[in-house]
Amino acid sequence: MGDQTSTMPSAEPAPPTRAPARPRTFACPNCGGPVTLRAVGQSITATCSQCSSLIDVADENLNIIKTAQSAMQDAEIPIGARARLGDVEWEVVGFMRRCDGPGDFQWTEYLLFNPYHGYRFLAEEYGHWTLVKMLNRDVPGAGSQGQITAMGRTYQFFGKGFARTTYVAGEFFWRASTSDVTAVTDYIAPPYRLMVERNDEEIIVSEGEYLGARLVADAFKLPLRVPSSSSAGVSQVNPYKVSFAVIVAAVVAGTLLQFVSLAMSENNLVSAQTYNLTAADKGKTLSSGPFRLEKEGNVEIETTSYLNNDWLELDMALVNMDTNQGYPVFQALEHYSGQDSDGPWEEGGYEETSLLPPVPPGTYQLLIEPDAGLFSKAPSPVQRVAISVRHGVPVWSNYLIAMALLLVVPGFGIARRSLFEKSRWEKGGVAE
Amino acid sequence: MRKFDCPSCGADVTFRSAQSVYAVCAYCQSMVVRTDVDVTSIGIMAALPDDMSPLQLGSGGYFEEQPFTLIGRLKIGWRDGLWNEWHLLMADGRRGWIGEAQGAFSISFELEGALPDDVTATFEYCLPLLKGGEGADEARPGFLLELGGTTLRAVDIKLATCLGSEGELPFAAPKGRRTVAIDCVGKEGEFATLDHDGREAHAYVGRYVEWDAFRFTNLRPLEGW
Repeated sequence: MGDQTSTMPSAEPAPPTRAPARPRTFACPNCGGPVTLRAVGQSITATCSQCSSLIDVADENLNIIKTAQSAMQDAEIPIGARARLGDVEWEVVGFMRRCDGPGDFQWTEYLLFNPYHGYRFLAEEYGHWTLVKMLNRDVPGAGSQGQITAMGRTYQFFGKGFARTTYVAGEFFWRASTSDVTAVTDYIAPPYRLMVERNDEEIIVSEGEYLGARLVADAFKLPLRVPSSSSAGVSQVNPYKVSFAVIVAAVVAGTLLQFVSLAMSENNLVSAQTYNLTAADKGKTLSSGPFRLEKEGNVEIETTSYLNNDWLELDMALVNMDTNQGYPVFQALEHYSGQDSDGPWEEGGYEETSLLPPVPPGTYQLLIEPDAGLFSKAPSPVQRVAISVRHGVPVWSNYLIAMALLLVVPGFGIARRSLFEKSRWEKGGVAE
Repeated sequence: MRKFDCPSCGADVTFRSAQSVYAVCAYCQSMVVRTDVDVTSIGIMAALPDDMSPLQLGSGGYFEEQPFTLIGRLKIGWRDGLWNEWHLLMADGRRGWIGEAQGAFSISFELEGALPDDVTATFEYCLPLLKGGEGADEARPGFLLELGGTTLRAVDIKLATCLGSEGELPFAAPKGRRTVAIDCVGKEGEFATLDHDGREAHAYVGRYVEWDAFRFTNLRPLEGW
């Protein structure tokens, strides 16, 4: 083939260039009003903006498919409006109103056109927007109820039912009609949504991406309504995040802080004394030996007494011997046990601990006024009571409270999140 | 590339591809057939209905890093729509087709050799649509077929009518030529189209390509865009 080398496309003369392509205007065959056709050569039906007749523009003779549909309806976004969505400029060329089989759920679909990038649908359902592109690929399992994989994403079955077209305006690349009914199956992988529409001639699989109402309003420079906060969009990403990362960081930080404070607390045993109480001690004030607290810190007083079916009350005061400032502490111990028809029983305990807030440095003494059941017993037994005083003890309670509060936050998040999901899934399901 | 005088109006009719047999004269719309050195007019092609396609004869582009030029076009109509089939010539001499429908672009090349069994079976299933009569409404998309080592799903079965053509074509495509056209897609965007005009069957395999990936040049200006 001698002409093989000369078939390099760049070397070829271009045929005569054609006049620029332009939208076409014609007179409506019903009312004579001007009808603009924006996607010339692709649009099959168009509606007259004056009388709302549905015109077959594939036919050179412009047949009227349907004269004047019910009342003309206005859409939130007018035909002819342009917006940049997903880096491409789109022009609204048509819109249709659709509803599910029973008519409970209604939505609007705008047909967007760009002569280079083709068509997109912009669907609006109660203020939730989805930009939809038809997929030119096979999606195995499309139409079944279960998980399916497409475009590298795993979609969950969301719902199955019918879509009825109740109103059309503008132009469409198919023979749009108000009697169209298609079987649709929806899958979601928020913010993505996969829609399968099926009729006798075609299987159309489309992929939608959720768009915020504000983004759409800004793109079209129109004041569009925003969805109510209680209604979830079908493929809207659940906005109630349970940010475990933040919680984990807070827990780690709190725990670190706690360990640092543990490491820094002295936890000194500054006094440990054992008292042998007898009836003779009734009304007396016992005192510990003086002890020195070198710096400010909290004070823990722990009392241990092995009571046998008896009680003990200690009215104590930690007294600063330099300033006579006193810090009252009251402790009560009791321990009872026995045997009845249900078996052995026991109540009370042998220990009691009190924590005093930080006290200033100084020399202290613990004064104790005891009262006890044994004081009224005769002959009076001896009851050993051990009282120890610790200074600068580590505190866990603040830490534990903080941790509990931190867990409330994700708990609240989980509740809001599941309410949102409930609102979303109320729209799903299988409709016959 | 060979030039001939249009037998109808005398203007240049160019055959860029050695294998092109038919061409539509750009000036008088005569459809000319190339016998070895001569050309004969076989009728006038009606002017193509206008459209907003950014492509035109002479538009260039790239596929798999190889340049191509659009040299011919078929305008196809079916009951509910229209599409363009652009005939292209690659730099290596291969010839293929770009299907342009609703702003989606597929590129495909004719499958050489005997048609695979699945394709033959598909035509048997779908041909009543072309010939009418019994079983004409039976053919439904959704079935799978093996083609070129890939599993494809038939998603679209249409009775197509040629509304007109321009440029160079490998076969005569007079207005009114009817074919049954079956579009198939694979999981990764593979594409195949099978067509049968009642006498001859063809299978074309390729893939869907995004507009930007073709890096088209010499596009037709579009008013307002």
